[in-house]
Amino acid sequence: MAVAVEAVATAPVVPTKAFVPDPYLDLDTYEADADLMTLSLGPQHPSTHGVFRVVLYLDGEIIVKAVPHCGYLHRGVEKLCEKLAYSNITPVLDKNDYVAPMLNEQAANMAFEKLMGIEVPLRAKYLRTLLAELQRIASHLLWLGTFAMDLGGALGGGTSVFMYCFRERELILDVFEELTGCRFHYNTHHVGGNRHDIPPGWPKLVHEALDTIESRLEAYLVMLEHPIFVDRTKGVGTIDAQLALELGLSGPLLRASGVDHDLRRDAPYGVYDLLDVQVAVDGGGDCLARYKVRLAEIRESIRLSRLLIDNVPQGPLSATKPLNMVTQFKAAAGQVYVGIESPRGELGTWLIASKDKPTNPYRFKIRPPSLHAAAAVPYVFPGHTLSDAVAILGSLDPIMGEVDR
Amino acid sequence: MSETTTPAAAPAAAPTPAPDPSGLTGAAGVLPGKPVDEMKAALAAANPHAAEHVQANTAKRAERQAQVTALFQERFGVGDLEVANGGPLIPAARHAELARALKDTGFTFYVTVAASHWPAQKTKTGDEPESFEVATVLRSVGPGSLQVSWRVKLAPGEELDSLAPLFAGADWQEREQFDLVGVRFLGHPDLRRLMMPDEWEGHPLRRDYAIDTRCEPWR
Repeated sequence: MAVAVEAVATAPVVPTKAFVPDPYLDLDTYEADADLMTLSLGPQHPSTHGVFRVVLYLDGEIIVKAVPHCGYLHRGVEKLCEKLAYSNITPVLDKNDYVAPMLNEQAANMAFEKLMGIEVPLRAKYLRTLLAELQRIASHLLWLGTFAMDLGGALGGGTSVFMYCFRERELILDVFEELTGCRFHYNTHHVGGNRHDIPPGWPKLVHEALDTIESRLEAYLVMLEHPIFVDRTKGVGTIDAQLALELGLSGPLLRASGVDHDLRRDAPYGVYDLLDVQVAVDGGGDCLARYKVRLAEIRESIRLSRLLIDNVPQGPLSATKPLNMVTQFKAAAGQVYVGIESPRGELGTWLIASKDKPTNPYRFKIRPPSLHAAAAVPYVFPGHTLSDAVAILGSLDPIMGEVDR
Repeated sequence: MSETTTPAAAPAAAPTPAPDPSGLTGAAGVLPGKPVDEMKAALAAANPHAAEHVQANTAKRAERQAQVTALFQERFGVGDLEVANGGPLIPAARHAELARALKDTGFTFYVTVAASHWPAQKTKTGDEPESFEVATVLRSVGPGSLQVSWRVKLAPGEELDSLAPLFAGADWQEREQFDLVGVRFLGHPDLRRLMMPDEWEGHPLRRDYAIDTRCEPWR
């Protein structure tokens, strides 16, 4: 027996009362239209990208309060680093932001060098800048793939964009493997410079990888920029410039909210003072703006990488001797903070050395950009539906290895 | 020479290295690289505005630095802002006041807070009691971004004014420091543990926190 199917109205779901997102909303005083439903999203839900749990309180279909819980991936990295010699810390940090390990190594080693007063040779600074830009491409490609997967069926079959993005990310990993022998836990930065010098054929591999990625970016745009994608992202999860700054959001999240701030240009390190980094800024503040900013950053990183690989300078790659004992590096008592621009924003290291033990840090504090992205959840989720919440979390891109440490 | 050879004509026995688009290929196992002047000239040609950015950054940073120095000098009586790079020590009672003053000056970006534990020590000059140190970093946004940091010393059990009402980003950072180091923040809207389970006892990043392992150096 045929059942007449009526056209389902596609009017947007809106809360019936004027809705002001309040991260510390007291549910006892909240007057709901229906019974509040409590929904625990995560920690094993695939859309939460690792192990992140958000307890959602839903009034009908609308989230009125979101309470994130993290720490599922807490490994005590900072405590561990207090016990390790300076030379042994780098490989541990690779596992923090496991999507962009190169930047973790750089952030920590720059802090060590600043505290020890070591001047890094130009060639090492140059190589670090190049590696950071290549890593940024890989990291943003992985983000694009997982974001497309979060939006799911709307993009014509769930995991297709994800698989394409991983294919392209592989090219960057191959290039890194050729240089360092490792695909993502590189351990290539050390105090005073870099460990692996550029092999003669390497620039060619980098050029090939960049050419392939650039040519395939066009194909993503055909897949992504169609009305369903725009419907799912435009106006969703809007963070204005004021709130973004308040929350300490950095990197693409801050720039997608219209704040023109990039440490590569505004507080240059490495050889960024020789480069004219085109900072991508979009005033939208929504998921679509965050997508656009990251896409523009991939293109800019391709441009910078091409330029850098063609002009590698002469000179030594390290200011320090090759490591022969773990206690080789000693720091005088002091404290430093060094922040660099990772693909997720300002990745910083607060380092304290005491006079009692010069070979180990006394306190090693990482400033993870993802922590602030995850902390934005209670501010951004309320007022949206559950399906939008998944899209928003995807566009915020918190890496839980870095949040929990 | 190289333009006359074609892949088909190349003898299989002696494979020539593939032409390098950057023309940098050397005989040794390491890319030799260009002279530094040549590299800088090439980058400058492709990045005509790089020098302008450097100029703008330097000017803006000097301006901000002057503002901060004046603020610390006039209101807090502190002359040296780089006390061993960690920033000056400020009385705990004036912590929030300083953060507010800096935010009004243009340091609108909350970077981080790092608490550290200093157990009681016997030194030649006298006994130092147990204390906690909390360092805060703020940053100005846009060209010439400047970071400014200061430190606060606390006695055990002493509470520090929370910056969460001033910077929403301080919320989780302070929760983390409370959780791992055990410094309590006064006026924090939601001071719960962040990393460790709620029922956890002790604060792992304290120097006297013993980890029960069989291996020697971890204790």
